[in-house]
Amino acid sequence: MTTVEPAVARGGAGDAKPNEPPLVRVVDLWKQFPSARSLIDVLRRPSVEPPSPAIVDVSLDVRAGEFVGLLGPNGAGKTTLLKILATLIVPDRGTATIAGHDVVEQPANVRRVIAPLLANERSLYWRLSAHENLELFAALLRLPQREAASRVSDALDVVGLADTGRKMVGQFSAGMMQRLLVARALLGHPRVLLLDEPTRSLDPTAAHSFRSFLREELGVRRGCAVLVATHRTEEAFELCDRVVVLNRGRVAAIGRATELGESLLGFRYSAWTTEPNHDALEDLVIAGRAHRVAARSDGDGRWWRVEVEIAGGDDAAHELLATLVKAGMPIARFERVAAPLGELIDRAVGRSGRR
Amino acid sequence: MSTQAALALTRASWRTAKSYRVSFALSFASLITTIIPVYFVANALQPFMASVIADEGREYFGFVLLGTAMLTLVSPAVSSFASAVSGGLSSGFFEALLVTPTPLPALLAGQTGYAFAWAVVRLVLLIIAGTLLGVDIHWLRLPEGLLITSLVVVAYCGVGLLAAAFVVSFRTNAAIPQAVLVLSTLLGGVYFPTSVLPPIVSPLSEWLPLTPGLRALRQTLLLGYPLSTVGGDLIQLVGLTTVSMLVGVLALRWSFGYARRAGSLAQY
Repeated sequence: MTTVEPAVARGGAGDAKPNEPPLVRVVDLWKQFPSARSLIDVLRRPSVEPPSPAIVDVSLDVRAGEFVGLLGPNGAGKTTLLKILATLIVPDRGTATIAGHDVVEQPANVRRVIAPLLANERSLYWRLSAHENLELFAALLRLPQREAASRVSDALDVVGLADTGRKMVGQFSAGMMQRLLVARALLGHPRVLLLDEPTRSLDPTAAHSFRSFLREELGVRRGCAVLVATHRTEEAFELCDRVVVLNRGRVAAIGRATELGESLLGFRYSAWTTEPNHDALEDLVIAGRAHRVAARSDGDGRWWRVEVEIAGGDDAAHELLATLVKAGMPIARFERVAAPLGELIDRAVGRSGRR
Repeated sequence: MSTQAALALTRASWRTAKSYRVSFALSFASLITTIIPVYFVANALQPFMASVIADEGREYFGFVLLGTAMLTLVSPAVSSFASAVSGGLSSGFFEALLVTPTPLPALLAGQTGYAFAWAVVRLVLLIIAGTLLGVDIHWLRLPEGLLITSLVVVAYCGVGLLAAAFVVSFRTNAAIPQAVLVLSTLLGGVYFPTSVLPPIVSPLSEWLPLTPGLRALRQTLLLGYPLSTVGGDLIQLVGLTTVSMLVGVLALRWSFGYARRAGSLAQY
């Protein structure tokens, strides 16, 4: 497992509080689902190897105000972990507590402090208005009627649906429905949010503003602990304080996304040039000072974007840039870039040796 | 607070149903068009049926009316739990409900509340229409009638919970609601007294809560007998209700435990 020291503090009021006990504590969690086999199949092949466990000895903490991303290939165990924390699945071994309540022993207490955002927009009443949907869930959350009315208005206001609160949900766009799901999650003033791909149905612009909203509202204003399963680079790098890479149910890597990227993939830079195969760059690659990752044309074939990994970080990059410029390589732009999430996961999974 | 949650769910279903205006209006209209033909057919058969139904009533129309009315309540009791769970599982709505602090019984009551409320409205309309068409009901026996009706409905709720347990565990209701409804309609004394059933199916008929329930209901409401006279049927009904609810509740509890272990509670 690759571990990078957790960088829980990121500046700002919504940051994690390292001195407080974690709101989410998972210790050596283990879950194996029973295999779904027919009776005839069991009689035919009684000694078939049981399926791989979905979660294997997973341990992690999430503090108030902290966003932790769950990454990994499909079937890695992200959703299973979220569902265990949401009290929908019972683990076989290990413990998981939320705000001090055990998810197996005290599920009712857990449900009072969590707000899972696992279901999709079909879990809304499409023939009712947003306001009516929230009124319903205020009752299910057992809020007193007087308080429920103000919470519904507040929640709609927070997600920017105050003006369309009386409109039928069936007429909403995917983004509006996603916002309504968040409003529903916020109704009970939860301390822990469990989000499963919260921006999957949003376009890039809506997803960006949605992430800003999540960070500002949940992290900064409300100080919630947030666990978010995602496949999006932006969520892992911009939204999450730390990420946990899962592979076949095990923690393959844990740490801050950018730092994990640097430790697993090196420092990555992109250079805009008209000569992607310039001799000076080739010499540096041969000398092992840079590792070429990719080169892409901008369309008309004149300018190229060359991505390189440079061991040694910004100081080494500065020297390398100076060498290239001195050798006459035309460079219009040179910048540090985030490693693609897919590569990061691949590398973490590959290093954990259980792919 | 659980009642508030259940009522909120029922209200949401009511608002949804109300939003389909044409369908809502047609369902009222169909009720009226159902009762009129029954009235004429029952009157035509009265000379032949009078002696057959003598133990449970004098007019065949009243006999059929109570049978139909009871079936109106039995239908949601048997079907609505499994339908609610199945629909909720496939849409993900059930998952959203299960992670709220509202207990499962309140969620199930709320999810099926509208179906029951609608059935009660239909029943009341049927009884009113029947009374207007001349059915002689002993209104003083209404409390006894309500007790018997409640027992029958609770007994069938047990079957409904068993069907819901099958849906939670195996994603199928195993045709339990359909089978029980068909058997109850044919062998439970809805359209003819169970005394005319062939001896080979008579014992089976006595295992259906509808059989003693309808017998007792008709004797109290149509013939005006006191509860003490229908004691045998009442004891039989209480026994069936107890067993049915016990089986239903235990099966549902087991199925939720199994689904939580198997991870299938929130699969859709």
